[in-house]
Amino acid sequence: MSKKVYSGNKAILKGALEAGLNFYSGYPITPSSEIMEEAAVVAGEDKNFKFIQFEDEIASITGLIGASLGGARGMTATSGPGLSLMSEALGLAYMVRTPLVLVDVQRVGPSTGMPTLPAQGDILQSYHGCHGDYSSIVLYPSSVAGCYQYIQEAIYLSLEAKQPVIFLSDAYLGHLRETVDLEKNKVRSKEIETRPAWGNKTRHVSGLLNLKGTPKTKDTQYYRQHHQKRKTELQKIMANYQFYEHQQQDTQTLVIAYGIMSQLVKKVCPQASTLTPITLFPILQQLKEICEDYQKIVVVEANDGQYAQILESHLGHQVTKLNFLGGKVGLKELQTSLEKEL
Amino acid sequence: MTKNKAKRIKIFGEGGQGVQFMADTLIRYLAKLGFYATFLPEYDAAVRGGQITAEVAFNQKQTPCPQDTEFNAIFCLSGNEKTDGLVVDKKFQLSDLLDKDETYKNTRVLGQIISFLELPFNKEAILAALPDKRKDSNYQLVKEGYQAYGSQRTSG
Amino acid sequence: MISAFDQLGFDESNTAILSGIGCTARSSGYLKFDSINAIHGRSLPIAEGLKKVQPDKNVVVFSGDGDLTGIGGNHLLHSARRNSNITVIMNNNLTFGLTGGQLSPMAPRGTVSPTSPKGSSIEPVNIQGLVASYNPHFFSRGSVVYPDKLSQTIKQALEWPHFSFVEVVSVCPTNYYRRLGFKSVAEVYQYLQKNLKFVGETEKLEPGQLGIVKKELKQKEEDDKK
Repeated sequence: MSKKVYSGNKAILKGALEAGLNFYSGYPITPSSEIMEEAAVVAGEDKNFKFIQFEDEIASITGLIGASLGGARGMTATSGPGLSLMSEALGLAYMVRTPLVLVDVQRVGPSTGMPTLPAQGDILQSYHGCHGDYSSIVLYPSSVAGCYQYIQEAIYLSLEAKQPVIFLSDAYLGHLRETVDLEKNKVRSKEIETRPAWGNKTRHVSGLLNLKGTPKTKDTQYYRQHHQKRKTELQKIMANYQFYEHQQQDTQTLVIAYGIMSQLVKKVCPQASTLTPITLFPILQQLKEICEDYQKIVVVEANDGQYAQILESHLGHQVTKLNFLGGKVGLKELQTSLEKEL
Repeated sequence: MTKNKAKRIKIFGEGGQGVQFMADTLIRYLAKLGFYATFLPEYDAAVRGGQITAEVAFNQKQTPCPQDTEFNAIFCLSGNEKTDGLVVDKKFQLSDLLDKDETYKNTRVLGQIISFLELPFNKEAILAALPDKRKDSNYQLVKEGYQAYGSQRTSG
Repeated sequence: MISAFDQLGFDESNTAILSGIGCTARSSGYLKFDSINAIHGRSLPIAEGLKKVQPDKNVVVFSGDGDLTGIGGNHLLHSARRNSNITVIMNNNLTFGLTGGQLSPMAPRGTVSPTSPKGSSIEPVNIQGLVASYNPHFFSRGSVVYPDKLSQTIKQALEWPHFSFVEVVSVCPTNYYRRLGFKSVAEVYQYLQKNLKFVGETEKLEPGQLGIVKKELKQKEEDDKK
C-alpha cells in the first residue's frame, strides 16, 4: 500500500530522498528541526547518505555548496532567522552555479518572533534576499502531499537550472500530518544533465564575476550579457515547472492564495474561483492570462501583502489585499473578510 | 452527516496526557484502513501542563481541509473546553473519568474514539499503527476502550 | 606548498584548494586545481562539505588570518572539533591587506592601524591554544622567510590523518611593515629571519618560534584509559 502518514516536515525529507537526495547539512531551528532529525536517521542507516550538523546556518549552506560542487544532491532546512543568515551564501551559490535546495519552514518574525506559530512572512526575502541582481526560484506547496511531490520537483529544478531553489513551507504545514499517496504524488524521475562534479576536470569557481575562471571585475558589458543570458536560460527551463491549481467557477472575482491559506480559502468559500500558485517565483507565465479573465483579483496571504505587491507590479493594476498577519488562522475571520469581497 | 462529508473530531487535553500520541495513532490507523486523513496539532508548548488540541478528519476520496468549525465529536481529557462558535454533535467530558496517576491508560480513549466513529476494529491495523514501545499493552487498552464504549452504545 | 604537493603526489586529479576572501584567498585562482574563491570566512565549511562527499580527495584550505580567525573564527573552532581530514594553511600577515591594512584579529597588542590609530589594546587570537585543545591535534608554524623548512612543515600537515593547521608567518610590506618604519621587503625579511627560530617538535610554540605541536590519536586513547 502506498498510503503513508507524514507531517509536512517529514514529507519534505521523504520526497527529497525519492528525488535522489544524498547530502544534508543544517542547524536546528523551530519549526523545521524534524527535517534535520529525519535526515540524521537516514544517515545512520545508509552510509551513502552524508549528513553534517554545522555550528550555524552560514556553515550549513556553505558546507552544502562544497558538497554540491563535489557532486552531491543536497538540501538544508531552516526558518526565517536562518534564511537571513544564509542569504549571503545563496548569492555565492547563484554566482558559482551550484544546485541546492533550501527549505524555509516559516514562522512569525522578524527576529525570534513567535517561533511555533505559522506565517508567510518570508515571501519577499525568498524572492530577493541576496544583494545584487539575480533570478530566484521559489516553490510553495499547499498541502503535506504537495510537500512530498514538489520537493522532488525542487531538486530536479535546482539541478536543471544549476542554481539554488528555495522551497517554502510554514509551521502549520510543517507539523500537520496527512495521508500521502506515494504513488500518486511521485514525480517521474528526470535524467538531467548536471555539471561534472569536482574531480572530473580541473575547475576554478569564484564569487567574483569571471569568464571560465578568470576574473572579469571591470567588464560592465560582459556582466550585463552574463546576467541576460542566465535570465533567458532560466525562462526556458521554467516552462516545465509552471505549477499552479486553478479552480474555475462562474464568478467575476478570482481569489489568489498559496500555501495553507489556499486550503482554508477553499474550505470557507467553496463557491469562489481560486488560483493557487505553487511556483511563486519566477512569477507564473500563465498568471497574467488567467487574471485577465476576471474583473476583480483578491489576494489572501498570512503576511502584510508581500506577494500582492509583486503581483501588482506584474499585472499593472491594483489588487484587493486580504492580509492575515502571522499566527493562528481563524476560519470565521477568514470567511467574514472573504464574503465581503466576493 | 452526508456520506461525502468528512468525519471530524477534536481532542482537548494537557501536555503529557497523550493527545498527540492518540491522534498520531488514529491517523495511521485511518490510513491503514484506506482513508485520506489529516491531523492538525496545536499546542502552547510541548511540556507537561500546556494545552494541546488535536483536530482529526478523514474522508474516503481525498484529504479533507485540516481545519473546520463542525465536529462529530469533541473529547475533553482535561478541563471543560469552550466550544463557542463551533458546531458540535457530541461532547465527551472525560476529565473526571481519567486517572491522573496512570495517564498511559488514556489510550483507552483511543478505543472509544474508534468505536464512536463507527470504524471497524482491525487488530492487525491497530498493531501496525501503534508505535513499538509498549505495543501490546497499548493494544489491550485500545481494545478495552473500544469494547466499553461499544457496550455502552448498545445498552444505551 | 606546491613543492610539498609535488613530494606527496597531490595533483589536480586528487586535490581541491578552497579559500575565502583576501589577498591570500585570491591564490586559489592562480593554481591549477579544482578550487573556489568563495565568500569571506566560509572556506572551512565548504571544505568539510566537499570532504564529506569525496573522502578520498585531498582538501586544502588556503586563506588569510583575517578570513580564518576573524569572520571565519567560529568555523575554525568547530572544524577543529569535528577533526575531519583537511589541512588549513593560514597565511598570517597580521593585517587586512586587501582593504587597506585595518586591524587583524591576529595583530599583536599595540599594533597601529587605520582602525586602531592609537595602537590596539587587545590580545590577538590564540590560534595554537584553540587548535591544540582538541585531541588529536596538529598545529604548526612556518614562515615564508624559511621556504624549505616551511615546505617540510606543510608536507607533514598534509600527511596528518585528521584536521591539521599551518600558520605561515608572512609579510604585507605595503600595509603592515611600512607603518612600522621598514623601508623595503628585504629589510622585513632580514628582520624576520633574525627573530624567528625553528625549534622542531615541541609541547608549545612560543611567539617567534617555528615548529610543530602535535598529539596522535593513540596517545589520546591512552589518556582516556587513564
